[in-house]
Amino acid sequence: MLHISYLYKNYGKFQAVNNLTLHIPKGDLFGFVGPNGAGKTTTIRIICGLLPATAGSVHVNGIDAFANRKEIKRQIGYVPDFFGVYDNLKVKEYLEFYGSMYGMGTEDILKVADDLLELVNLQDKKEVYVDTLSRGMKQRLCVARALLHNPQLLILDEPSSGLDPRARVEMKELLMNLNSMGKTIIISSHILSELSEMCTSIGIMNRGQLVMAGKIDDIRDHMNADNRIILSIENDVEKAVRIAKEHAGVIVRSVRENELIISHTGSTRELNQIVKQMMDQEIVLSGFHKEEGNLEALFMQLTGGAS
Amino acid sequence: MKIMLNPIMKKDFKVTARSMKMAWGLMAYEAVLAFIFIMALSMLSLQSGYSYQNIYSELIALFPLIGIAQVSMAALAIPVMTASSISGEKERQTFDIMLTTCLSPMSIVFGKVFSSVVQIMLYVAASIPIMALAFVLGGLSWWTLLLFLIVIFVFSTLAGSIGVFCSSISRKSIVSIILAFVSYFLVCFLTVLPMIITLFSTRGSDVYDSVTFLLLNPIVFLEEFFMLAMTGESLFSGKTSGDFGFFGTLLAHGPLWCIVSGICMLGLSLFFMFLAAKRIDPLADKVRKIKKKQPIVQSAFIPKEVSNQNAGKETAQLDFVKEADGVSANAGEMMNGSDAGEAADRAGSGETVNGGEVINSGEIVNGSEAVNSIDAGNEAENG
Repeated sequence: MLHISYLYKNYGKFQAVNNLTLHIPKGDLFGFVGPNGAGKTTTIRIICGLLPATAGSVHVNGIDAFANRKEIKRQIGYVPDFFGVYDNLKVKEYLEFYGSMYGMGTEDILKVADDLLELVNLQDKKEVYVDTLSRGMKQRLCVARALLHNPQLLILDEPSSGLDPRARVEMKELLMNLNSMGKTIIISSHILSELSEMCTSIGIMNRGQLVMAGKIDDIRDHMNADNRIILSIENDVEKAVRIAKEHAGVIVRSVRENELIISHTGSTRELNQIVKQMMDQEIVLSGFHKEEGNLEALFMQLTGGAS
Repeated sequence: MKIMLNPIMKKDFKVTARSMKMAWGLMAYEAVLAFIFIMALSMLSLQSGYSYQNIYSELIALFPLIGIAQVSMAALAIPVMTASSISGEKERQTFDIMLTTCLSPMSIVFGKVFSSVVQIMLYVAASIPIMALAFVLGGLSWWTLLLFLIVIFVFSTLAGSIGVFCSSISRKSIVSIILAFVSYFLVCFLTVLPMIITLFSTRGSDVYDSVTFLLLNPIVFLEEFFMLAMTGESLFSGKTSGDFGFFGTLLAHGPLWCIVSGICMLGLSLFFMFLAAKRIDPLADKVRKIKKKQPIVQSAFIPKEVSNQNAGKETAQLDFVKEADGVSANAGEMMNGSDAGEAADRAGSGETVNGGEVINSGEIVNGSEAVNSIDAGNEAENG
């Protein structure tokens, strides 16, 4: 659905996007995550044709985004992070206005608008002035607006920013619903937990570079691949480290005051032996568990602790 | 036949028509005109000592007075209305959405200019009852009134396009408004400048060679129109002869001057609209930039692991892919059609290729392997 190849965006000497190559398959709900200033919005703006790239290419459904702009605009629905509305315009007229900007006739717009307003749960607000709607309602209206021309790809830049918890849940449900209808969706956010709950894939950006991308399950598997074991030790951590290092297939990952994290690639029996040996040598173990893949920890690691 | 109105024009007019600003503006506009008319009528009455014969002969002066008052108010209102048209959209954060629609930048500019022109024309139309007083008193013909509407349309279009152009330059409405007034003054001044220079530097007769730019001067355009409407003569009447070529002929025949000047001003308006469209188009010079930078980028991707031989067939697995079974579908993905060709080209030019998809592999970020693209099984499912 979306192919980004070797994308660069420079502002003078500053590289906002640096060598970004990414493919998002059709039907994916892709989360773009990264700290503030990572280059997510810049990338999104380039895809939407709001910003020229310094170099690289973007293809949507095989269409070159820089060469066939009009066609690309029909393929993409864009919901920006901050957007305003017009005073003195009703919800119905708001949709009519944007529909006409896509060359749709009034009758077609009104027909589609009814369905979309129902989808975003604003069917009873049709005759209400847009500027009187709440932030969450405006956000949902903006999603309806972005869907007017039935785009294949929906791009949302920080859709939950400024929303209350209830509106966030509603927005999440709406996006998952749209994804189940077959829409390919890209959402940017700097809150990983928000994306990990609904996205099928994520891409982590940091300082203009895509440092990791893939299906959420794959990333979790990847994180669990080195089989990390957390040992809570009450008395002599240094002695425990020595014992752990004596065994082949054990890598000491981290040592804290009362905690030892090791990676173990051997069998469960071997692990049992390590633990038994520690206990035999009078090391008090108060806890022993496997570390589950933690996206937040990975995110922090990849983005150098930035949040 | 169904006429498709420019959506921006339609929306702007709808939004403005509903606002109190429009109602107050219209009221103020008509009040000022009525005040000027009544004051002028009173002055004429006082001057002529209530002799009605004298009043009628003087009443013809009311039309240019009202006309000039209208043009002056339009000259003040249009830059204010148009200079905030695009910068206002930017301030309101609605402009980006507008640019992502199928409407071209030129259509956006066109809509913005003509929504203000239509507004001004509405103000002028609303002032017809006041102007009709000049009819009643014998100072104006229907034909002149129609010509006046055309003149004010041309004038508004020029002023509007300058305003929208200034609006496209600045992000702040107040700066745009100031810029619009300055630009409008510059257009008026720079088009007279060659003639002033000629007048002071050479023989007086050469002045007719420097009138070309006056065709773009809205003040001269209006002056010629009102002179012709009132007296039937133009500013330069009787001072030109056939010896001055094309422009001399234009000057000698006032109506012709007005027509050519009107067309030139519409041309100038189009030029400003074109500049504004270029300004708001985010990708106006995109193609040139890409062509310039492309070789630099390609040279940055010299492969380490992938051989250039067997281009297009080679698969380079990411370390991550090797480790995680869940994404191993990547390596086995089949290439087909243009993807394969494109991949082959890229691999040939020294890039890492994975089953038809381009992947950047092996970057190290904070000690972790960085993976740039994973497109798993559902790519194959989706075809």
